[in-house]
Amino acid sequence: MNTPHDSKITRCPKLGDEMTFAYCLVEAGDLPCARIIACWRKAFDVTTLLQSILTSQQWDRFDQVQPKDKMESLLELIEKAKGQT
Amino acid sequence: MEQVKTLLEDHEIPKQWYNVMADLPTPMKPPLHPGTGQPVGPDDLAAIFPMNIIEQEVSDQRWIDIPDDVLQKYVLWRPSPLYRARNFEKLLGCPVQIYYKNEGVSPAGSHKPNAAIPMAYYNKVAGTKRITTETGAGQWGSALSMACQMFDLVCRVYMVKVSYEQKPYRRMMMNTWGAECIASPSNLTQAGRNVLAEHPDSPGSLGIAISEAIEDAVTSKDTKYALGSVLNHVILYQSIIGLEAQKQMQKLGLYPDVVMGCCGGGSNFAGIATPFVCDKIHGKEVKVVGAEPTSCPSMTKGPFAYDFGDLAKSTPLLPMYTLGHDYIPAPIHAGGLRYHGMAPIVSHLVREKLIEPRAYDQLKTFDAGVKWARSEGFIPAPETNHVLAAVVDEALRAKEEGKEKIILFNWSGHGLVDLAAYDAYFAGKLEAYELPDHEIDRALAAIKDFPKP
Repeated sequence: MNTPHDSKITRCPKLGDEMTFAYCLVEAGDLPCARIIACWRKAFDVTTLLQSILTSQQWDRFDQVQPKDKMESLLELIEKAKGQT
Repeated sequence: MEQVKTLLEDHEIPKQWYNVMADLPTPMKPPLHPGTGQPVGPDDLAAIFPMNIIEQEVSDQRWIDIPDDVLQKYVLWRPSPLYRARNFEKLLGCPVQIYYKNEGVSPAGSHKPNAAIPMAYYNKVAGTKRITTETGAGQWGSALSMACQMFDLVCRVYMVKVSYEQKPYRRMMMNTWGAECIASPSNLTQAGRNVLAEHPDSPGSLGIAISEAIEDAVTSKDTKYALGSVLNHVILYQSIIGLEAQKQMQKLGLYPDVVMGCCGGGSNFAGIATPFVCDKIHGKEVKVVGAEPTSCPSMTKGPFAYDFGDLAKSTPLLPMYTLGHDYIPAPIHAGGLRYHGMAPIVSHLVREKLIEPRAYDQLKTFDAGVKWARSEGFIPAPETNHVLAAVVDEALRAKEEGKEKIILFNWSGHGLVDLAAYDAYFAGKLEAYELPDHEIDRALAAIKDFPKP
């Protein structure tokens, strides 16, 4: 997913670090970071850009991503990890 | 010469942490399990936390003794100095006295060791041999690394790969303190291997790093996990900041009109705030303000409700300030602002109107941070800049009102390992953003029927 904005930099509130737009595009594997529009919308029309570079299936999956709160995530991950033992 | 610092001797360090849970006008609602609707119990967390920490997580005991072994580590830099920001006062030209706790003097450069040290201690006491955690740019990971070294515990930190590669200094700090810092995703866990199988060049994410740290703790012998924010026991340990500040203000014969901190997960804010919230509950007149980014309006604009973590409603219901599980404000994707959970204690205090939340955009915060660096000298961490924006705001309000005020705030850490953020600010790459009210209203309508705690 090469875009003209890939090398632009912003501060990532999740990592506490400066990240390129290229990172935000792949933060969730084959999907962009769930925060990408909130973080970049003032810089350029990121929504239109995403709609143009994501497949309709990717867009639908991206549109349904719901980040979880910390305690919820912990409990889910504990249960998942127990399955590894 | 004018007095700037107010110090406490080592022996004057508070000997107990303060637990605000004991004084809440109405009790906290516990997290609920979505399947049963019952409160999440200690057993649900026992796989990753030792029971002595879980007991503190659910404790409503007002004062909890700080173990001598923890105090002995704290005094390496605590009691932290209380500064009067005379140069910043002159710069602002407002009728205010500004005092701040300098938490940047800790070996790791932030308030994080206040929680990392007791966590390491209690794990040691409980028989833990090894602790895992995740870290983004490394602030928490470095603090925990230092704490584990102090208590002879093995520490493994899963650091998001992109930060591991581009921000080496905190990784080096972790290594220096004897911790193993692993670039995540790694091939050490199934979670990491799954990611690498699908995306061999994955730069990682905080979610992947958490998955790896939890899996490592759950599947390894004598190993537990540590979390540096959000949870009640973290808030408890951080109360040392506010307790010291009370003693120092007392030495000056002063009491603050306003107490302020910045809110990420809520730990440094609650650390300075909760002892003063206790005073407020018992009749003292003090305003307590939490500053957060406008792009994450978790306190300032959301109602307090039980919120599901996902659309499938399969995760626990946590009582917190929320914009709702199906929050999709066009054109902003739901996920963009759904990472909104504040520490439940902080959410509760807002609901009780014991805390006043305020939000500031990042341009305003960096402007305040640069003004601070150019007057007081210390370069603040970017997160700390939020409270500086709030201090400027409060000072200007005092000027408008024609009132003299004493402001106390928590300067949570220095920004010497975060200078790229300032570089981005100076290069004009950072943007101001505030979510429009009509979008907030639309999102809130989606949770109007949710149970209210």
